[in-house]
Amino acid sequence: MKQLGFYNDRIILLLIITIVLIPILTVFSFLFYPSSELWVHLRATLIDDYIFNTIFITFFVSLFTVIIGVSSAWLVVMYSFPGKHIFKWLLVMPIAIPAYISAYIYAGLTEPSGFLFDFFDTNFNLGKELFHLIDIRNIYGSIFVLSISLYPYVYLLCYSSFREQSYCALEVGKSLGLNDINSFNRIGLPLARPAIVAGLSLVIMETVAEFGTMDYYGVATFTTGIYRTWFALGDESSALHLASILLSFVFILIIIEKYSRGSRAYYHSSQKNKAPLEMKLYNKKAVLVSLWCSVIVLLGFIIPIVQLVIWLFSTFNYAFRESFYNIIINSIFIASISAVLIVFISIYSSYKNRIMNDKFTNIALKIFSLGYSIPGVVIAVGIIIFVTSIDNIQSFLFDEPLYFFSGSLVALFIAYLVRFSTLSLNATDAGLSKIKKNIDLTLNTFQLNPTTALAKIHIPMMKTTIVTALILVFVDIIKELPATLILRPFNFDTLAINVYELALSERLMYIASPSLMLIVIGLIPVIILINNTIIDKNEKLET
Amino acid sequence: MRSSKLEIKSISYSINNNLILDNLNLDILPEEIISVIGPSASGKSSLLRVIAGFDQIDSGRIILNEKIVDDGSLFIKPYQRNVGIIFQDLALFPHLNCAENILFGISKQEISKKKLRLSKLSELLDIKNILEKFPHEISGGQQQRIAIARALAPKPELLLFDEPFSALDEELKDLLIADVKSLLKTEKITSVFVTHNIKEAFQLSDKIAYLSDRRIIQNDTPYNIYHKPFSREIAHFCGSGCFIRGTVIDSNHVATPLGKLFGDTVPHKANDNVDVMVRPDDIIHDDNSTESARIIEKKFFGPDFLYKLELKDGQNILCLTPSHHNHTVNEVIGIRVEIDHLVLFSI
Repeated sequence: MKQLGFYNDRIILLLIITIVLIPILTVFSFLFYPSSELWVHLRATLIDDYIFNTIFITFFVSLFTVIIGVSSAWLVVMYSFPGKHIFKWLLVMPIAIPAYISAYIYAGLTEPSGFLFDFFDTNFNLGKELFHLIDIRNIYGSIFVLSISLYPYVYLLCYSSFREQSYCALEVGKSLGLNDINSFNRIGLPLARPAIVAGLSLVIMETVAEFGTMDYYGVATFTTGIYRTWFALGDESSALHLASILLSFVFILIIIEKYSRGSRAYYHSSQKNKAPLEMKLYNKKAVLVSLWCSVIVLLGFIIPIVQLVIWLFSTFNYAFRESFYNIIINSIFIASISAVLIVFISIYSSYKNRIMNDKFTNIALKIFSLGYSIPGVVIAVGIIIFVTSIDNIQSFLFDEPLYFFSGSLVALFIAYLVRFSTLSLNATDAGLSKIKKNIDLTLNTFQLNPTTALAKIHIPMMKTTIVTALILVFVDIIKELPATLILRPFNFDTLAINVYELALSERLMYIASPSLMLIVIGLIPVIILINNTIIDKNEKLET
Repeated sequence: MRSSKLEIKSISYSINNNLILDNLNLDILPEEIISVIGPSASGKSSLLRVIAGFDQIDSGRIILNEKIVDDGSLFIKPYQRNVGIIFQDLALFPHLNCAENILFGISKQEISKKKLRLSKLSELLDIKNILEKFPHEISGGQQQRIAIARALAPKPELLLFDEPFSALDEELKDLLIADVKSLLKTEKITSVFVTHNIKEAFQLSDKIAYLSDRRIIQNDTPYNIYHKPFSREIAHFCGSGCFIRGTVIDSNHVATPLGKLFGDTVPHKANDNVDVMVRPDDIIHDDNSTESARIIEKKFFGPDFLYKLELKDGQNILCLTPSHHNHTVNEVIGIRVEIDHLVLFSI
């Protein structure tokens, strides 16, 4: 079979990949970069802390998210108990609250403005004692906050997995004499292993990349270390060196994850996937199970929301300031433009991959989808180096740059492209793969260029997928903190930045308006997600 | 002699260095309906793909309407060839209604022309009342008609069908095949069907081309493909049958356990040992016949019985007989041979 020419498309794809690769390669190039004086100091004092804390936090967050996620998913799928039908979707909700916002709220709970403090102070006059007793701004606090914020990843994937696998395999297990606990250990858990691994790897990536929580709780990890070294101590090369170590760490995780998935595939051997017969729980057991789910939901979602709403009552005027209005405009502006461009780029790339389908495009798309696992801080510092060097080349050529890329929205957009294109690429790939190949061949026989075909046939056919991709990317950009913090133009505040700065200046009560707005926006994809995976067809949530 | 509509001259085609078609030749006359049959993975669909222009050949020549469309270097793109294609899965556009689907390929034409074409096609294919519906709202057979109408709309030089009927149930298939055949004949459209279903091929085609071993082994009328196959493989593919041993007597006779059979024995010579092909319909059940055989197996097909018979020397043949002749296994019945043409293969 002879190859027909696709040179232009290859060049465009190459360009996109280059943009994605540059920050990654820039950071990697500092892995063996000669170290500065500060680096010697860092290595002597802090680097051990970074490594230890990152691993320590990751380990315990993994442990707790698996315990919480797997147990709640199993209980909700297999048993019927009071509140089950509310818990099954309420358990997903914490995913709508960015971890850093939970961190701020929990820090504020036991402070004079928090309702816990208030409650103990007015009723028992013990506010001060409570404040001194519970100190959450430390490494243990960060483990707590991340666990209750991130467990929904494990919960969601396990929920689907238990739902799909259960009926036949579990019935057979029972007929072979397994009791409840045994059937969980010997059938449910092993079959859900791929789901657990997938959920856990998301949790680990998010934990390693977490900046806001660590920063506020004063925990020295790689992300805060990179930020501090660069922006407080002004040592770029040491910061990049740290970033390169973190990046290697992330790549090792990716490789482990790929390897552990390996060739082991779990297929459902039975054709019919009937919903499992739920077992009804009574008395003590039912109460215990409801209690367990309530505690998770309270900690992960209800307490933070209640606290925010209480704060909102005393600070709602903040929402009517002009500066806040600008913040909203900024957020929506950058997020919507980036989302549209990113989704457009991923439609283009997956479509080209579909019609060319050669090694080049396959590899290109693989590289393209690396970004999601790279911490925002790392991407941001990689991009700074890239854009400032472009500015430098410009000033060399024209005395003064025609356009300053550093500190511009372009830099921010590149960061979002690198970090979030995976999301939309996965969606558009899945959407396109549902369109049969023969549709393309049929189009080939009509006089129609590929772009028109894409516009008239493929895009209308995958409309829902595209809308979903747009929403996902939009929301993730709105919530993104570290890359925006580092790369935003001067005075360009977004909701996330606003929350961060208010918390930094210890005006915790004021985070209510921007935080609630972030959470409401974040709820849109969560509701879609719940509708698609959790709720049975006859009881859909109104969106 | 009329010139060919499509000439395929010793083409070779490979995918990732795997030779799929090798030195393949095929001639199709204008208005001819031809079926390409052959075992699965023999390259039938690949042949269709290179004719349509989805892939380019390595060498050889494809000439459509006396114009070279592909010779390994020169390559005319699919949409410039004016070739229509209909797939097994139909590939209808789900977000467009039937009328929009049909008009898709001629969307650049004037509205009045489009209307005319649409009304003519919907008349021909009997789909007037479903034009406003969406593909998922109509039946499988109707979807098929829409797909055919869509492919016919731009008045293609050549219409290609890739296993078009295999998703349909039998009853619907017979009706549709008859309709499609008369449509192609009235519209005078040259068509190539790829199918693995020999029954479909027999019903549809003016010619059948048997593709095996990367080339066309035989391109012939359905009758000849069935009764005068060039190879044992074709004989097997085109219907059940048995081979019995025989010895050539002279250029017109061969001696077999069924007696002396008459027919052309060239190129075999006298005293050559040969296998004689016997189709189930060559053996007539006749109680008055002197020849007889013992039933060792029977299958009921509704209107017919297919008996497997054992001859006196132990060789087996098949006999197709109307179903009122109901005999039991082990019964000995009288048979008569009625072979129009001898099909002999050397041993």
